[in-house]
Amino acid sequence: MKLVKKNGRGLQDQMGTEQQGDDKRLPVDAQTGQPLAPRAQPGYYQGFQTLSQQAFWDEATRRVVLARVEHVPPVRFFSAEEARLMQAVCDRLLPQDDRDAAHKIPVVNYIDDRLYNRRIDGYRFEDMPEDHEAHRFGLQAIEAIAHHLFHRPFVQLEPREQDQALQTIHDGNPPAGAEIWQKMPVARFWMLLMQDVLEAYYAHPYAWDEVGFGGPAYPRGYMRLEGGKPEPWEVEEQRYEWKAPPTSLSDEYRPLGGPGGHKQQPPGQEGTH
Amino acid sequence: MALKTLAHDEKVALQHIREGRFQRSLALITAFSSLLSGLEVTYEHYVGSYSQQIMYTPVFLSLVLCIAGMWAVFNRWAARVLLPIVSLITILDGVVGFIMHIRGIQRKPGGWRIPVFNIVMGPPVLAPLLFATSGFFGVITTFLRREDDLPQAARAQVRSTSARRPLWMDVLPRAITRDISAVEQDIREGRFQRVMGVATAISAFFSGFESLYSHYKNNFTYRIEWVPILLTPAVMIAGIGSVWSRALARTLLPLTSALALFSGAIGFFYHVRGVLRRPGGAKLPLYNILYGPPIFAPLLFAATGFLGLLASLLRRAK
Repeated sequence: MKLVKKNGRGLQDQMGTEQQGDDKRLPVDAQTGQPLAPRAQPGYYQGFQTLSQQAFWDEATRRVVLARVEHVPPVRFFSAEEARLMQAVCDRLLPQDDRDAAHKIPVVNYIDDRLYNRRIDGYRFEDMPEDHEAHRFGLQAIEAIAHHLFHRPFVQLEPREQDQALQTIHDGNPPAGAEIWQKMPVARFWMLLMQDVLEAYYAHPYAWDEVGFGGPAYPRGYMRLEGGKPEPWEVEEQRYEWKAPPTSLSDEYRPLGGPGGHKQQPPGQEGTH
Repeated sequence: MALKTLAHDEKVALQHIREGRFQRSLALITAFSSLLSGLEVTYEHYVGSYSQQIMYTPVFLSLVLCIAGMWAVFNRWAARVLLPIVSLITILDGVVGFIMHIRGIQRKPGGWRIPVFNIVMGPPVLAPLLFATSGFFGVITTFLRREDDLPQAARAQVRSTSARRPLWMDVLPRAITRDISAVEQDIREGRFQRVMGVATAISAFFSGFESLYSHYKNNFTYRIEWVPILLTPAVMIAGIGSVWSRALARTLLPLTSALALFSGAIGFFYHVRGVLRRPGGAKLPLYNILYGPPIFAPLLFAATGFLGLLASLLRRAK
């Protein structure tokens, strides 16, 4: 069985250490309130590694999955400045502070690769520009919002301020970038951004280990189909209590607004994560 | 008075078994076990959506064997002519099925390179041979004497051996038919403990292996699922050991067999409970029987135990 020796270099490695050692960004132990140290494998499935099962995949699958770990595409679409901003945005949309440096998932590189190669889902909303343009506009708008709210570039904001800036897009009422929002609807851009981030993150085997996904089910499938039992090669779920970092907005209770009570969906993906 | 009659009946029954005079009883048991394995194979192949025509053959054959067994209870001709033919076809069908199931596992994605997964999720590899067990019962039944045979009539029949030779034996070479005749004579007289001991061990292996991977699939959620897996080697040791040791055949074999019989009954109860506990329970009987624990499988394990008990009551060949 082939073991992966070295993680591909993601953007985080190249970007320096402005976030490293910042305890306020770490999730905390629910009982003690102490920050939980970054781990090679966060989640409830310690010791389970999808990649250890690669002997049971077919050749094509193995090539695709291993490439995600070993051959991280370079950043070619975003400029250096845009890449820094995009990284800062992704770090708030899907924080990886609970991962150690060697096991961060290079989300920006994968989004960049898609935009550089103009890969799309096969359709485009008629009121949206093309995906690569939309991302560029979006970054400009985020920067504009940061300046409007806090008079500083987005990358220099505190984590909580960054969350607040992004929240305005999520809520569908950004305070700045009006000319950009005329070119694309806020809600559609938010969907595009979240989809790209989630897709890049959860396509990676490290994310599979985190959520306990058993990996490709071909040619070997699953045998324990009922009652949530683990497969023989999986491990039992071991839950631990934790809370979001104090700098994050994600744990704060926000009732869904507007008439219609819980039935009304706000723009974006409230309730799905 | 009633007790005395009962005791007498028991004595007669044991005497009958010792002397190989239980054709009618065994014919009934053949019919019953054929019915069970027939029901089992019917819904298992239904799950497999009868994707090949040949999957109908065990369904059809088990019904025919069941009818032949019932008929043999009342009719000497059915027992001596019809039953062996149907039984041999059943055994043959089991062997063919075994090969087909091996091929089925081979044809699953990954085939035999992923043996554990594909044995668990593919066609049950030993089930067709377990199905053949009822055919084996039928063959043994054929060679026995009937309970109500008079001793004189029995003796008369021994003298006219050639007259009651089945037709198919004339086709075979003499050297083989002589051996068969010797075995047949032993069975007639209830002197086939060794044969039955080995049959018990083989049947235990088939049944135990089935339960091993089925319960493994279920991750041994309940500890009682280990019972057939632990009992199987014990029954096998007793069954094979009785080839050499009369003592084993008289002690360990009946003990382990009775336990197997008992655990099969308990297992049947748990499997029924498992079916009822599934979402929908008894309101979705067909669906839950199809996808729940196989309800008749424990009874086939119990049949193994029965085989062992029968073996322990027989006499040994000289």
